[in-house]
Amino acid sequence: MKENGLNIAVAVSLLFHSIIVIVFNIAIKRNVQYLDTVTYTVDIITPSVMSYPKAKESEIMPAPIVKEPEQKIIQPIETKPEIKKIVQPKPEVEKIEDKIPFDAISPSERISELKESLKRKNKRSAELDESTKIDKIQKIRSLASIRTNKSATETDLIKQSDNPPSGAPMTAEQGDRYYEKVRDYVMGFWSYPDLGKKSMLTIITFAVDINGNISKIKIEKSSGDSLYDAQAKQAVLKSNPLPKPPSEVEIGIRFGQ
Amino acid sequence: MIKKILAIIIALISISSVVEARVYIDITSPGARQIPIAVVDFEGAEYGKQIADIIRSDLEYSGFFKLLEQSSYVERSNESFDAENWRPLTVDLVIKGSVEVVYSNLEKLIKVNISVFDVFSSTRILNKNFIAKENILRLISHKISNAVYENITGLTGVFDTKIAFVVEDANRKFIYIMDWDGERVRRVTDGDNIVLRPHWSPDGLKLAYTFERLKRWGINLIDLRTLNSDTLLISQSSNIVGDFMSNGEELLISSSKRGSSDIYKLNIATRYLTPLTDSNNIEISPSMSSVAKEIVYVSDQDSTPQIYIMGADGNNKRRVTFSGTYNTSPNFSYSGEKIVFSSIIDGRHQIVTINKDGTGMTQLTSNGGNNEEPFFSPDGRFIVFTSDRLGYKALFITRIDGSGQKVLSPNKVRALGPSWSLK
Repeated sequence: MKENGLNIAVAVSLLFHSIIVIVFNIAIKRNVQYLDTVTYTVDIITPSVMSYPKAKESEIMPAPIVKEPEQKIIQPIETKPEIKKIVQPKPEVEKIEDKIPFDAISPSERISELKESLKRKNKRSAELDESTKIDKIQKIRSLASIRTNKSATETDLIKQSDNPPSGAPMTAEQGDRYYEKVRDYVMGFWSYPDLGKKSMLTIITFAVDINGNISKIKIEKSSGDSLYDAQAKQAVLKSNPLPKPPSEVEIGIRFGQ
Repeated sequence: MIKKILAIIIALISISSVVEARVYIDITSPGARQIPIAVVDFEGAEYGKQIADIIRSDLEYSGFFKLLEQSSYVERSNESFDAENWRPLTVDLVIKGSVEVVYSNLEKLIKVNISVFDVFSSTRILNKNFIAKENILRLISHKISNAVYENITGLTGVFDTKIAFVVEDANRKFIYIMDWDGERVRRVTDGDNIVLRPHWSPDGLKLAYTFERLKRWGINLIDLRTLNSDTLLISQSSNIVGDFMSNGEELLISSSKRGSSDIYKLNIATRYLTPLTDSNNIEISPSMSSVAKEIVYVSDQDSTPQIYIMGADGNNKRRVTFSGTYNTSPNFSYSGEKIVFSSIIDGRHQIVTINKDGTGMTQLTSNGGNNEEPFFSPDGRFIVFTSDRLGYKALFITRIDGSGQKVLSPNKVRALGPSWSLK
């Protein structure tokens, strides 16, 4: 009797826990899909993804600003950013002089230089204000696009579960062979100079469809060095399309050195 | 009852197993060590191409970039950047620019605008203007190289630094300076019977060097802005200049004023000498790392000349080299990680690097000639040295891994004793 009670208790506990796991699982799965779709869209249209060290905010191109409100919602994934149309922030000016000049600089020139630097300072703070504004607009816009994309994602999900991906799941041997191929492929497109930086690690995740097309590229872990991250991401982008996998796969690549 | 519950659990789990496992792959080294770039000729008649050429040469020699063949460039500098044009060329970065002549107070100036584009994100990652006098076109180009290099790698460029050295003619010796790439060579002294390797002040505006006149050895400090020089010390004992201390107020020298050569700090303002070594052996060639606050030097205290290190106050002396029987002219990298020196290997002087702790000894030259007097660039990525492999002494440059060795000093000029400015 005691034993039976215990068994039931164990079973109930199991049920309880597994429900939590399942709910969590589904939540994550949805969440991932949901986030992935968003990241995908944003990655391609938002230039600020590839910021470099020392590239000041004012030097990085603001995201394309679309004037017509209806275009805010419909953002075709294939849209490539058009640099030419964007209003440029004024570039920084560096005045260069020979440290060891054999002819001296006239004082009047120094004064005009001082004035210049003051002007520049004022301009820069104005630019900063402008860029935060742009950031805000961008955030609002990406939220809007998430909302519109959400419904599409949900229907896609249903469709997917109705029609599971073609191609049988990979056998371990097939998998090993395929992942080795992917490694060689991506490595061939990865270029990063020996800058003497040690213990760097960037993890890039992406999905590969049955034709080898890459999607959902994400930086799962940043190395903290933007050049390193950018070159790792470019290696993946350049590898597209990859050799065809036996079935759809999700891959994470740890770029380490 | 239990079976039912288990069945439900199993059913639920199988429904929920929609999350696919992600497979992780490790890649531990890049396929290529160079970032493919394109430097398009700048727009602006006479200067555009010259400036682009200098930037190409700077970036290429850094060893970090692979320049795309110019004939395959798909856009000119005055055309808008379109990443789609460049993608098929598998180039990562595109550099464009324009040059215009502007007048300020009736003075002719050149204004250069540069842009660095990232092909894969279709973004401009750098946009900057440079203004300079027309006569320093090379310097402005080097400054642009620095800006591009720093923007991309996050490291400080040395493309605007200088090298000082000694030139010999039939009976006199002179101090010269030139840009890091061997251009803009200028003589800065009138000549003496003997002149030894000059050393730069930390601000890059002065040089200290040893001369000999009427059997007396002196140390001069020359201000490169005015070319006025000041004799800091002169005596019958041999006084040989080493590096400046990092504060710029003291100079490391070796002097035989007490018989055998020892290392001293010479205060430039007071001319006061503080001994750092005190022995009957020979201690010479002090070189300082500003970061490590340590001095590397040569001593023959264990019968052969070997490399030693001591603190900036002369304490904690220790031997670094244990192989080779003749190790001389050490130079400390600015960061203090590495030491480069010359070692006799198979009867000839060769350039060798070693870590401060005595590990990782690497021979950089193996050429038939003698390779001596190495000196680090401020970022520790290049070394300038003297070699007689051409049949006469000339300055050569190499990357830290021994690659890219090339002549730096003017053709058919006897050049030696190089020293690299920090700024």
